[in-house]
Amino acid sequence: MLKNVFGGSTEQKVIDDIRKHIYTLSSAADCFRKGLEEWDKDHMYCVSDLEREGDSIRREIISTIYEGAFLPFLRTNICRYVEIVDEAFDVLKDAAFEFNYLGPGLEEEIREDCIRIAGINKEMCEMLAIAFDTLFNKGDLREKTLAIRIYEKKVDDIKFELISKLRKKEVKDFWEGRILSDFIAYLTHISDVIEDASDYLHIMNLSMR
Amino acid sequence: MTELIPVAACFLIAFGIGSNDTSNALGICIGCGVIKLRRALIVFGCFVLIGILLQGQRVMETVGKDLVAVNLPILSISLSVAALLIIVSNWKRLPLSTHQVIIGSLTGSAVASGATVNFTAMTEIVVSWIVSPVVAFFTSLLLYKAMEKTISKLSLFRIEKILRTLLLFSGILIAYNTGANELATILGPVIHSGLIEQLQASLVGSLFVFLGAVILSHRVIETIGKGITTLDPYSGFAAQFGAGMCVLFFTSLGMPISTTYCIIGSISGVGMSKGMETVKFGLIRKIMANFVLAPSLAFLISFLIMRMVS
Amino acid sequence: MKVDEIMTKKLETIEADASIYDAIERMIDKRIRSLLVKPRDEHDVYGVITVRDIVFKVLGKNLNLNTTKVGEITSKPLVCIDKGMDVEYAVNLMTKFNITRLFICDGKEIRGIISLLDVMSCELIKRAREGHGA
Repeated sequence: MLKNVFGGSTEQKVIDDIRKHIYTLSSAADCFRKGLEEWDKDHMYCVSDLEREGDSIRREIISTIYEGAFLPFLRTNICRYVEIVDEAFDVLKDAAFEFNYLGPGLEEEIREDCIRIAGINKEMCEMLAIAFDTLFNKGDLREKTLAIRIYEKKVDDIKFELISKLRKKEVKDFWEGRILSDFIAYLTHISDVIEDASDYLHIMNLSMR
Repeated sequence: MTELIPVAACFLIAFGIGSNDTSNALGICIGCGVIKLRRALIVFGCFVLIGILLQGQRVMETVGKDLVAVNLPILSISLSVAALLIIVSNWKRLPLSTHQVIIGSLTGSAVASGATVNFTAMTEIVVSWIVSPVVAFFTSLLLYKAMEKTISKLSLFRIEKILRTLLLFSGILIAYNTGANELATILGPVIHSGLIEQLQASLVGSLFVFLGAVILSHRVIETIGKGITTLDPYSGFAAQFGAGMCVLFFTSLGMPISTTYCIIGSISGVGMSKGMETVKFGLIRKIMANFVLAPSLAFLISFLIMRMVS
Repeated sequence: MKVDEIMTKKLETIEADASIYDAIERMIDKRIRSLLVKPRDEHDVYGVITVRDIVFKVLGKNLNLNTTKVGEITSKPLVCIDKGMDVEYAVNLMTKFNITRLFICDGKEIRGIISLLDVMSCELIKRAREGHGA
């Protein structure tokens, strides 16, 4: 009982699992970027593997929490946070899926923009991990969430240009256009979800004061 | 034989508070998983006993000696009336203060039988009833501000860890108060009338409180299911602990007061500090009504019955 | 951190004899605050025109947007630095010349542009990463 009162092993397990969860997302984002750089469809399979791993970590987190970690108040918040990160996984997986149908290649400019976005996505994941850590060390959460918003703004800027380039592109048929459009949509949505996650951390932080 | 009536009534009331007040004290802690139900009950029982043994005297004196010169008929009638009212209100889930009912019925039957009622003591008690929620209001407000300046500065998970310990402490404090103040109020009259010896009464009384908690502990679980009030654990702790300190203070003065009203005062205090009213005015009116109604009703019924009997 | 890590490689250019109106249109559509002005001939050099120039030198003086040419308010030559320079050096240079953007040059070629906003964002991200060995 005393262990429970003074911050026990279940809480630590949840925290470690959340860290593992976000690092897995980071790896998936990195793997995605590499696959895009090398235009390697086989390489992209690692994304869905990592997504499945992320899923099982998430289930682990949620069941540990409901075994009795943390104050009930914080429990729902943590679960919601983990679900948002899970959403990022899903979007990444969807982008990887569309990538498989993209064909032999893309125009250089468009490809470069996509690679840049994928790179920023990975950095955002790392920053999210750092942001989460500030919830139990002396770091300043505001700084980290601001950094994430800066990244998201960068993706937005690239997206704006990318979409106008895409609109000028000629496509052979509906599906080619649709697949490309979906791919870009998923790719640019990832940063939005990560930004949501970091905003949620901010809310969580405020709720306990 | 008739000597058993007040004693039995006492223990019945003790049983009643056991079932009601456990949720007050330890509901939050159990809900948080800080402590398991069984252990919580044992902790609760222990601290009630410790409370009445350590600090029960003063309140017992005030209620049992200073207020009214008790004798057997007064005791039997007032305590039976009190027991009845308390059981009915528990059953109907009405918030009735045990203290007020007991003191109301004691004075009622005392006046009816022509016994002396110490009006100074009476006034002191009523003043305490009115002042205590206000004191709780300010205590919690100050506590909340102090917490803002110290604990708030830490990182989230540290705060959460600290809060868990603090919540346990405040639960224990309330258990202690239940013994030192509430149980003392109940047992005061019978002890000072010589019907039963102090140590015996304390032990048996605590036992009945414990039994009440154990047997009707499903109520505790219900409270948890409903969630933890409108306040987050941070404010909730400030409210509960502030109320607890306030009750402790009045216990040391020997005044029998209600923890529930203090908690209402402290919740308002914490809510105020956030710049909003957490207690709705309709609720306050209802509470004021009870405040006046409870002792008056007890007084009246005891008075009438006493008159009828004599 | 080197300037080539945070510079913007996309450079928007405009002809020296384009009108101010064209410049304004370009800036608004592209959501940028400066344009690289192309040299008129081989003897000329690159220049830059910014929102400040437009507001203070044209709009503020009530000059005609259509007839005034970009070349009339261009600042030349550009303040350039090498892509291998540190960001701190760039900031010092901007402070010294009281300008808000620098061009990254490679001989006569313009490789990119770095603005105050880029410096600020990069600095914030660096701080956020500090202490994490990232």
